[in-house]
Amino acid sequence: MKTVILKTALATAAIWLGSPCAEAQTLKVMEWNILSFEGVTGHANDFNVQPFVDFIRTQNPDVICFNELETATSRMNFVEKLTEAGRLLSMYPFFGFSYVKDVGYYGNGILSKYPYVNTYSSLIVKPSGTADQRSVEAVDILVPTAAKPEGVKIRIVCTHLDHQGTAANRRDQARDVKNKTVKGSAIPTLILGDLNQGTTSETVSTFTADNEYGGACDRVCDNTTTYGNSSKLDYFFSYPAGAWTTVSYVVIKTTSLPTPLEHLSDHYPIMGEVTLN
Amino acid sequence: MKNILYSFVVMAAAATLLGCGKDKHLTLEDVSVWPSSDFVTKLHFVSRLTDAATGSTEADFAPVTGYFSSTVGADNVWLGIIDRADVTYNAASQQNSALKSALDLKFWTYLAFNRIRNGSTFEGSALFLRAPVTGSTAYALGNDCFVAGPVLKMQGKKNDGTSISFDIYFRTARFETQANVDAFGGDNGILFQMKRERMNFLMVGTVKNTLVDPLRTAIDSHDRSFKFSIVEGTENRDYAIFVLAEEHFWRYVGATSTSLGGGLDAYEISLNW
Repeated sequence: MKTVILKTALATAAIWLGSPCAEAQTLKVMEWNILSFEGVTGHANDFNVQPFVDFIRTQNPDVICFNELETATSRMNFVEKLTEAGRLLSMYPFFGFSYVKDVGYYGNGILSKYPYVNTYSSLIVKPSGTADQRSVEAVDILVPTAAKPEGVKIRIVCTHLDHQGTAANRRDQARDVKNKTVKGSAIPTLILGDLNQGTTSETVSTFTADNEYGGACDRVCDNTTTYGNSSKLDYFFSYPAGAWTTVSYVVIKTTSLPTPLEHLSDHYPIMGEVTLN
Repeated sequence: MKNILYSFVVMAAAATLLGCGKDKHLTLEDVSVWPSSDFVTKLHFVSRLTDAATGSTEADFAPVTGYFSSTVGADNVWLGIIDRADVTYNAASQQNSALKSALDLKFWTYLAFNRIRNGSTFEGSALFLRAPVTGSTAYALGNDCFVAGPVLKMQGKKNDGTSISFDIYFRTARFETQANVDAFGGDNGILFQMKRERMNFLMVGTVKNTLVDPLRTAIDSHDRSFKFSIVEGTENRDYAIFVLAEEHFWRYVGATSTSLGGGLDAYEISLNW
């Protein structure tokens, strides 16, 4: 009898350890403006995804939001870079279209270890003075848990706001993003993006306030700069307020990492781990 | 050209009207425009038509790459459905092996998700496409299974060789249990929902052999204008490939099959619109 119990316990443990259910509803997410895999000025990376992938593997995120994603253009030899990164990381890719560039595209990209059931990509408002067309993407992923092995639905939102125009433009884009992805939704959501705006801005408070564009979000990220040592531009919110608990959050200062990591992008990647309450 | 425009106007008008209507008994019986043999499109379905996945390693997908690159030519393909391109979760070494094939062929990919099995195997089809998907709505087919519904850029040809391209509402699923069939049919089933939202959808998927007749009955009992066709050559396999569409929008023409070896087959499915 003892042997049977022991075998059962070992088998249960093995299943538990090898299953995503072991991770419960805790997700590790990364937000990174990757500068089209181009490398910073003077340090051309030739659109090589490998050093990005090598670094991302050390962080082991469940979900990634990439901004400034150029893909499948002629200077990339028509290779779809999100799929290339997804293949190396064994994650599902979903590309978010902002505009056609050359023979390829420009936009955002989401990678997920978990499968997506619904996907959404939409252009956002482009007020006068903005640099170019931007977009927002959302995927509803299914995360299997012990209580719900068929998967708990969680929404991942990825966006990149204008960098050139006024703060009011970015506020309006934030309102549009929230309106399109959160308003009226009961799905637990993680919002990631390069907002190109500081922490005290209306753009940020658009997300954290309960307003006509949707319910309040919690800000997971702190005020650590993400663009050199001067600017905080990249954000991580959770929705609805109070629904998630932050386990950890860090900005990874790649400039202090060995070559070639310090020159991959002009933005630092941010990593956050959250648990659905 | 007149015919094309007329067809589109009728299709758009019908879809718009039907999408706004509150009547459960939507019908196009007064519309006399039908798919024409002048307009042909082809899609490709790769499957074992069993309960097994297409492959687990990248090497397993090499025949798929070979089929698209050598047999049909990747440039001629707007949709390849790679059935059961499953991924088993592994925190350390998960493999999404179909992506290598898509990369080699310079296709875009999209996951047409079907279900999570045993909490760790993500089952679904990999769609190979010429353009990125901009959105998708899934329909729950019971408690644990989904119909995937991406918007795809279709490419087809007129009989004079003119290329024609437009967005279509594609649907795919694998019917594995009677519960899936039960959820699909009926007055408030998934077919009714899909029909209300986009009556001109095109659905291509698989159905377990023993469920072909129950699924046909469920569809017919709901709306006989939706034509359910079994792709020839798949009737006696563990799973059959089916095409489902409203008869005013799409017509299944036929299919040819190519063996890719190791129990894997590719079906080139022809349709009129």
